[in-house]
Amino acid sequence: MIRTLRRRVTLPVLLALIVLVAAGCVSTRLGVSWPSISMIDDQYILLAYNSYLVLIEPATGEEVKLRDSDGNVRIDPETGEARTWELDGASNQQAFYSTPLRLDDNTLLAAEYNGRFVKIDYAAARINNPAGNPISGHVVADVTVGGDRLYVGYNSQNLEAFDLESLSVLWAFETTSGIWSKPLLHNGVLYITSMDHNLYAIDSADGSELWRVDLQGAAAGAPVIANDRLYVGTFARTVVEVNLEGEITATFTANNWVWGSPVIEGDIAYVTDLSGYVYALSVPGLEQVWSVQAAESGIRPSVLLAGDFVVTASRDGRVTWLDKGDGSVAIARELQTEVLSEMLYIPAGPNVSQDIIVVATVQADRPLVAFGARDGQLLWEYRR
Amino acid sequence: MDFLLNPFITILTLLYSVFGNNIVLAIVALTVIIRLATSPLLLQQQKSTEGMQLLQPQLKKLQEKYKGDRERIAAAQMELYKEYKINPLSGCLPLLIQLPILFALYGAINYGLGATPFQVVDLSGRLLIPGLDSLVPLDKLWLGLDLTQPPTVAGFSPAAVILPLLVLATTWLQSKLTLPPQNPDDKNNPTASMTRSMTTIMPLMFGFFALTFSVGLSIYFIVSNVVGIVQYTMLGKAHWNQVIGRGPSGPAPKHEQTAEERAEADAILSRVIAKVESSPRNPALAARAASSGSRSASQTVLKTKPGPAAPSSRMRPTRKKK
Repeated sequence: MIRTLRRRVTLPVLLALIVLVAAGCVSTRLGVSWPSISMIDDQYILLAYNSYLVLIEPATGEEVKLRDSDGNVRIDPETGEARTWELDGASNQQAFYSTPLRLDDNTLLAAEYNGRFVKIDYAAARINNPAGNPISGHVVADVTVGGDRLYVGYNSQNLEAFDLESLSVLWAFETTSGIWSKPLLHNGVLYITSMDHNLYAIDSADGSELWRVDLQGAAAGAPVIANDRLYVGTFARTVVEVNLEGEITATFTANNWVWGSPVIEGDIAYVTDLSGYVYALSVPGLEQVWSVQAAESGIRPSVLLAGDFVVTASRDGRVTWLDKGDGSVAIARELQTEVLSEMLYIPAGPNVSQDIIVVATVQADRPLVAFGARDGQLLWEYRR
Repeated sequence: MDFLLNPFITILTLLYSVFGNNIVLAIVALTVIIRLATSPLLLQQQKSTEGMQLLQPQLKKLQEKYKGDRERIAAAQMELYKEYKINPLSGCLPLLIQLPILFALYGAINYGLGATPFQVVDLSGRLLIPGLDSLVPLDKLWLGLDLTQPPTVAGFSPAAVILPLLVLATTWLQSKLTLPPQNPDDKNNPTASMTRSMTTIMPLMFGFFALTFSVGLSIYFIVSNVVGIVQYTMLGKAHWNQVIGRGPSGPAPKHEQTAEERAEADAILSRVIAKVESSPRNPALAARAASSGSRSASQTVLKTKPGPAAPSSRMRPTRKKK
């Protein structure tokens, strides 16, 4: 009987082992972070992802065509096709996860992941200094400009202030872990969150520390300010309210990590977590008004507010329009791919006929999708 | 994947907390736990290897008897294993189980020490014990090395050379210590020579892994090898004489069989042969064997060609000798 049993059990055990072997093959991502999208001159969408930067027409989702000084479309002499605004830093081992900023009329400045400032000729879509100006760390977060200064947080640790013109270091501030969000500059004070669990207030003039608050968990999202209160989400599953003297005045506990920054409108803060929940919290005080699970998987980015809707995008590719009043689901769209980036809201104007929402995905061949902000209608997809 | 990976990440993070936020001690402790947990498999593997070694003379006799008839040789080997209650797969079992564990540990080190937003966002929801989230991100620096990166990523530092060398040396030492002593008869045995060549290939392969994969994984390799060496030594299975120069060329100490043991072995061999020759053959294989032109195979086919009522059903229940 035992022999028969053993004979019967051997094959399933072997199959289970094969499954175990397959299950153990842990996949790792090739990139470092997710795409960053922003508007340039309220005219074009600038997409920065891995080695490339590309400009997109917000009305159509097509790549912007390069034009000469007379306004004529430039033609590539080799292919005979129109040249588009795109540059690829792969040959110089450049990667872009931070939103480039407009330095002057014809120059963009990008803090590149591999530790360089890169200047880009905006009209020609060309990198002016391929070797770049070296900086002392990897950059994944957006940088902040204040007056003639630039503040850059690094992926592994520390923040540095640069002179915007010479790009020389003015001062450095030490943290013990990475800075993954854009520093907030308010009344001459820089507020930064760090993966070392602290929220720091720094004098932007000389980089001296004014105060710090231990948040009891890593903070990867940028702090936001409303009515003299700072709000920040943490990996300790909390949203923390801090006054401008550096005292914690309220704490709200979520179901999972809070990565995206709270979005505040009036006396309500909208917060997402990595369990797929969206919370409406009253401010100040962080009392829950409503909460709803908008997705089965986590929500990394902050919400977007569009009219009567709170719009979220989750890791399972679900874009959801929630009613601002009670959080009920009004519209849902499935992208079938992971969304981790902040979304972009473009109000109706000379470039687009209606309010639109642009969602960036991690899918290499379909990095952007646009929806009508009020009706959730699919408008276009940008494919590469 | 997650059902294996998430507990590993959780245990690694828990150990990190227990050892005062020291990730290297956490990896060492996790490795020791894994080695201890898989030690019954190690014992089984050892037992199986020893059993296989003891069967070599009988296997050789069977191979000579059925020379050229692969089907018969395979059937006879299986019968012999059954008689001696040896599972030939049990030698591979520990390796098969260790492979996913190795991958899961690699994943745990990668996710647990997540250094970039992509890695850290994948860590969310993987920590199965509430409260461990507040430990994220784990401190990934050790002796100036980033544990999530290959040792050579910041150029060739002394540690970048020492770690792969330690992996190579400990893997070699473990392979050498656990290598069965060579019998003079084994010189032309392909299995024995393959085992011996593995002693050279494996350390080189793991040394290469140590150069390519993260420093954290190299620490796992080194600790795992050291614990393995200690385990084998405590079990009395480590052949230190092969390392310190008195082997491996010296012949293995031969197990002297008593007359009774010899008689029993012969009886078992006869039973095996009887059983094999009374079993019906696969017609396709038999035809192939016949067409191969091997004289002995053809003879075997003719001799045992079963009729509609093959005697196998009557003869099958051969009881094992208690």
